[in-house]
Amino acid sequence: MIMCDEYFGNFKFPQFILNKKIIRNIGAAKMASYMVQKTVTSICTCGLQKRLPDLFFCRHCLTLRCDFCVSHEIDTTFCPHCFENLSSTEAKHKKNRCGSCLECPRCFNTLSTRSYSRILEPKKLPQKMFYLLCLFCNWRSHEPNVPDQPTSSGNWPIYKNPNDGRISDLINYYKSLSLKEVFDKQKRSTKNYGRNYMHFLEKFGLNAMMARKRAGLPNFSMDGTGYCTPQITPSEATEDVPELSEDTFEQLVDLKQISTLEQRFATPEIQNENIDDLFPIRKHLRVKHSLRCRVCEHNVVKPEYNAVKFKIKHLAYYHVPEIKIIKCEPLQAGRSSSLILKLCNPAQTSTIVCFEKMDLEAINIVREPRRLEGEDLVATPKQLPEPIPITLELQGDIIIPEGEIKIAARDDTAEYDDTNEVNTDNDDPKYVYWRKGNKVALKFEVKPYDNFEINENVRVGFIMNFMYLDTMSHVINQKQPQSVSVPIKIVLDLPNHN
Amino acid sequence: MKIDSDFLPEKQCVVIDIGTKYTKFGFATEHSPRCIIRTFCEIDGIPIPDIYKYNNVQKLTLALSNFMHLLFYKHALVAPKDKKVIIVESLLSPTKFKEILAKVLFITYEIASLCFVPSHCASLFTLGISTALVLDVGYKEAVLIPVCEGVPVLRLWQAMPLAGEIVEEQIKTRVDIGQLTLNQSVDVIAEDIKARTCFVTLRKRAKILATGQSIEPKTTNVEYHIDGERSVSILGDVRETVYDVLFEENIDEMSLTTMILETLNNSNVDIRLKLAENIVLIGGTVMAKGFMARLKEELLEKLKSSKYSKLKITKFKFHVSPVYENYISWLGGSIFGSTNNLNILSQTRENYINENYVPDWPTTFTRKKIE
Repeated sequence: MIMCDEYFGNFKFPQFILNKKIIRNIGAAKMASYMVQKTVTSICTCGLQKRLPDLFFCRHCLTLRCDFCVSHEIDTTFCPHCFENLSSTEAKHKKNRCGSCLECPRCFNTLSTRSYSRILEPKKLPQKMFYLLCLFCNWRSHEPNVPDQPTSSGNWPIYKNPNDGRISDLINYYKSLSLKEVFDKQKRSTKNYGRNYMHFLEKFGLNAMMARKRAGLPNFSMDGTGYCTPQITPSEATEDVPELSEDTFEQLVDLKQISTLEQRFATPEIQNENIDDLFPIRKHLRVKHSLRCRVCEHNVVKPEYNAVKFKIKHLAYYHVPEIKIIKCEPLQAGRSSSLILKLCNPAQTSTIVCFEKMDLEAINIVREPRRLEGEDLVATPKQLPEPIPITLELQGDIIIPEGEIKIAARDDTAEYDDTNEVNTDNDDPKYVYWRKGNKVALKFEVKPYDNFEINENVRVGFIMNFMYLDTMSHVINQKQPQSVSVPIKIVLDLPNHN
Repeated sequence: MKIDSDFLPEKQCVVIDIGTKYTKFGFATEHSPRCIIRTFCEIDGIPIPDIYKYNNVQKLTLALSNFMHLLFYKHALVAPKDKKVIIVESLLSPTKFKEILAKVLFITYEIASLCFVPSHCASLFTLGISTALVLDVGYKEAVLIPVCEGVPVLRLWQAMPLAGEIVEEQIKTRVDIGQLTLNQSVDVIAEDIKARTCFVTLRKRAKILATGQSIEPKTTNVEYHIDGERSVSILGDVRETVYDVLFEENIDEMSLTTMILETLNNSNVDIRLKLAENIVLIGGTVMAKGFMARLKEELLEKLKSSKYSKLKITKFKFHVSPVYENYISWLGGSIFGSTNNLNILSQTRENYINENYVPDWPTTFTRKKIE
């Protein structure tokens, strides 16, 4: 007797609503316009152009690193739904699937467990039974006839290819065949050993053999004759091939009942064509990465176990002054127009920036990773991926502020302080537009080349050197904090739509 | 000699079959791939259409690195460092692609060893046979290579661009998809229509339909919806005849059928009969309903022509694999990965760095054994 859930009835969502991809696409499109604006980019040490939030800063090589030029390691494996952390062996054993969370085979959302009471015998207490329901598309585990379970955690059955046994046989057969090959080869080579039998001890597992003898087990035969490979029956080709069924032509096709390729490939071993035969999928696990610099083998990012925090996070965003465009006059070919950039120092220490012109000729000369004094490279030299040659086409010149510009350290309390006076006496009003706390607005001038076309983005580049104060306490050499000037190649892609 | 004990490779071995459209990915000794995902190589969100034909070395390196990253960290959840990798590839895949892939895996991802396994040979592991005529109909092209006692007979290869893509092209020209799509790509819809509504019709029906006549029973039309607002009606004729392009002969009288017959014609007399009675079909396109039946029908029909009647073949036999056709070659790679031969035939990282080249063929000559 089913007591609840008649409410949902047999209503099914049309296929188009189930297509999660559409929803994903809409989300992506919105985010794309907002997040993936590549107006201000920095060129990473490996040669890729990235936005500042995508970059890391290796504190040992004192250079930028990106997703591509750090080595990724797997830190912890977790389920994205129940957040259970699994050890790597456990994850391996479970084939990277969560033991308790299941996904809807139709729309790939997480399934929830529903219960109803059933009275088996009139005198006994009603028994609770559980089934699975997708709250998004109303898929139920009754559809492919998954039996209801008496426990909520549910030992939901795992479905396999019916020919699983045959594949196991094949694997065993080929395994033993290749072992026999090795055995034969060794038998041939043992003839040359002369009379010294000591090597047999390990080679033929004589120790193991003696142990077997002691245990009263039958012996291995020495010459390999007693060993025979398991036989398999080779596949028989047939003339009767699956024909089209008679009703293929006239059968009405209900697209809601035919699974999509995405749904089929979610379970490669089953790949059911009928949507009612799709079985719930165990949730695929995710990993937390820890990132390591390829050159010096120091960690760049290391997450904390069982938390959303990080032990180490050397993101460029915390060290490198952030550049934002706040004002740009309309650009005209051959004429300079002013451009105001805001620099914001995210570090807890004050920094000095100075600018250099970008030399396109020398842009591909890879600078050796610099080191702080008194620190040795721990890593042994190894072959690293080749740096990507930078190909950059500029559409204009940029006139940069001369001299050094000091930017104050970040102070979280300064935000609330209205009387926050900054010493602006030393600033050259020719270059410094305004200054507040750890932010400074600087005047640049952009002069697009004569041949530049209207409505085309103007790309200009320059090098920003900023002073990085090394506050790490070094084990090897405990010195005073050193400050190093770090050059960063900046590319501005100025939109010019009139 | 520990023969009875299970010989388990101490390092997990990853098996990858990179197809033009779908990539099969999993671990050796397992029975099915962990995932079948779209081969999607991209740089900064700009996808690379066909990785096998792409010429820009720099960009391909970058795109392959991104793709391998996706495979290892999102699907396999293992760091590729010090792992053994098997790539199941077609014998006809470009050397350049192979070299770039090896470079990415060895240098960027520091894998322990790499082995390229020819997909046509590997497929036979799933059947337990050693001689067969293997026809791989994937997305981009159909490649036929006979395998004789485990050795591919390269002299007899045949390749034609008759595969999933040309079928999708047919759909695109005969069904007006352009009018109903806004944000979804036409290719995705064409593939969906192909997989969910189309089938390979009988030879006699195809013959009549090709002349423009109608036939009884008429195939039902299908109403195909996109985004719930627009819909298009896919005619019954279209549903059953889009696959016919694979069996139509071009000006050189070549089609899937004649590819097989040409190979048989050119092969040695003593192997001919054996090949005809051991046909193995692999690749996603052969999973279309009625494909095998139509191919057999076409073969028998073509045999009656004067050109092939001297072949003295009376019947064609097909193998039925224990798994779905789209991952047969992957499974072959997985079985190969479970054996000891993997250690003998794969190239190690040290060897690659010293020699700085990838051998054309898995050999034992140029490299030392691992372990």
